[in-house]
Amino acid sequence: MISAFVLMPYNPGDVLMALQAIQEWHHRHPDSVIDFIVGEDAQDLVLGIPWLRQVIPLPRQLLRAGLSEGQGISQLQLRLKQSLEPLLNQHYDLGINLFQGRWGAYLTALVSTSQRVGLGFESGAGLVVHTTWMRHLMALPVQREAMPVHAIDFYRLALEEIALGSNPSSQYRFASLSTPTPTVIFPRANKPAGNITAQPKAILHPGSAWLGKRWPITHWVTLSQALLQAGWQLTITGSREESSLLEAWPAEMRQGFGSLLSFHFGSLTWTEFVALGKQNDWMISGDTVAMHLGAATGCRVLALFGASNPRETGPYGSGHFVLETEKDPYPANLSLASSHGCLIALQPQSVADFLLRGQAPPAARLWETRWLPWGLQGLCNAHGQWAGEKALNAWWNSKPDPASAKTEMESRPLLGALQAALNHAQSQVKTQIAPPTLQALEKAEQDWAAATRHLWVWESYRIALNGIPLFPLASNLQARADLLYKTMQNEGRTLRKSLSGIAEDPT
Amino acid sequence: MPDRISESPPELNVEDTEKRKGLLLQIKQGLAPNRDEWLWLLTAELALSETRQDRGYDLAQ
Repeated sequence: MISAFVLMPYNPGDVLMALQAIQEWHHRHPDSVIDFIVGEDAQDLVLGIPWLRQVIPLPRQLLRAGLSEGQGISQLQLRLKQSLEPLLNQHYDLGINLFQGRWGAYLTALVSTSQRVGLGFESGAGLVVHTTWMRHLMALPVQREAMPVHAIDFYRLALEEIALGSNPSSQYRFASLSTPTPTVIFPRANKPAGNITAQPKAILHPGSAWLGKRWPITHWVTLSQALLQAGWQLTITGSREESSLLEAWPAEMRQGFGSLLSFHFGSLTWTEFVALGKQNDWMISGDTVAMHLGAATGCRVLALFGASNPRETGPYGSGHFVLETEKDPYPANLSLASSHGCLIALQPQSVADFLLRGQAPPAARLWETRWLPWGLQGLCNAHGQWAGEKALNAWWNSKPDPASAKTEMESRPLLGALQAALNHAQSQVKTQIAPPTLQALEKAEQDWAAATRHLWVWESYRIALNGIPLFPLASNLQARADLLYKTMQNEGRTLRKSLSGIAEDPT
Repeated sequence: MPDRISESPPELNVEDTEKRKGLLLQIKQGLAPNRDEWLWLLTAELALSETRQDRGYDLAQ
């Protein structure tokens, strides 16, 4: 019997993805006992799952409210200690921290654990990321767009790495993974997942917290009209803040279709949302928590992807569909915080044609989710070609190569700073990078992010500078340097003048 | 909508701020706080953390 705790406090979509990976791990280790630590934001999603021994709630909102009301931390500490009591009084074989925030390491440091996955603390080293795969996941923003592996598969690979035992000389091991069973977290009572009825019932989820993931509301209205006219029954969902979207549906349309069209904006609990998912055949959404919930409840998912990468965060399981629009020209819309022109250009009639007649839209790549031969999820087109196949192979096979530093790269201030960090990281395994180099890197990254709106650039360094030794991230940094260099070459861009004075590594 | 910051984000008082800074530096240097200090720091970080839901994006109520 293996005892394990899992930490994934929020957001709800991330919690669902964690559950899918852990469920599969539990399926392969049925005698394991698993405790799940989750915040109030997503607690309802986890409560009642039969293969979890207990759910340990984090009173984050309560602590936040207490601090806002002027209470000191020492006053609030007792409340947290009470919540964590079940964790603090026992030993676990495995601590699985899938959360990337720094405080996840502080929590895991409090728990007696034999083996760890994810961010943690080690005496003498500070914050470290346990397992190669979690290190790569945490450095993912480096090459997010080209990422060929699903985040859930990263979790599975990290857990597999633990199962195989620690072997630092072996960078990547995935051959022993098998197709996960099951992937539906909330199974249906009476019918198998994906069994579509003659008159399909669908949830349409038009909103998103991120602008770059939103398809225009007018498109959603047009799509819903086409589906309703074909006899579909639709439920439109969204957050309370998005309730004004309801007004986009003309009153005559809302009245005309009667019970075939209903709306839930901020009116459902997670438990009710899960129940709703189980009653529907389709979930049609952008890259949102609703998409993950659709997959977790056995809906067939159609996901509309703009700025984000469906290989990394698409619907998990087999038989879902993704419409992936072209990426906008670099750099304007790589950020999720700005609207995505190509997603906006995706016509609602094209989406309706796919749903009603199976016709692939002309302006987007149509993918179906399937299992790769070695048990990872992939996206496959109608010709049987896998998305990112070359990238996948290159990624598996890539290794950091200190000798590949190019003088041409070093001639650019930003790339020079990156290269200096790389050289330093590769020469000093356990020590931190020299502060002047970090400062140069940080300034270069901030300026680059400000100039290009490429926010992921900064995020990658936010992680690296958080106190985690840079050495494990070296291969990712190298990939990132290569990517930046290639981008600059392709786009013919030059760095802004303000970057020209950044110091090279003084060491 | 996604970038809206809550109107009154919680703040630490001066004493707590200094204690937090000291513990963060200690951790960065690889020196483990004691159990009580870990719990204190975790409480502080949780109380200061902000999620999408805190920023007003509530999909479920």
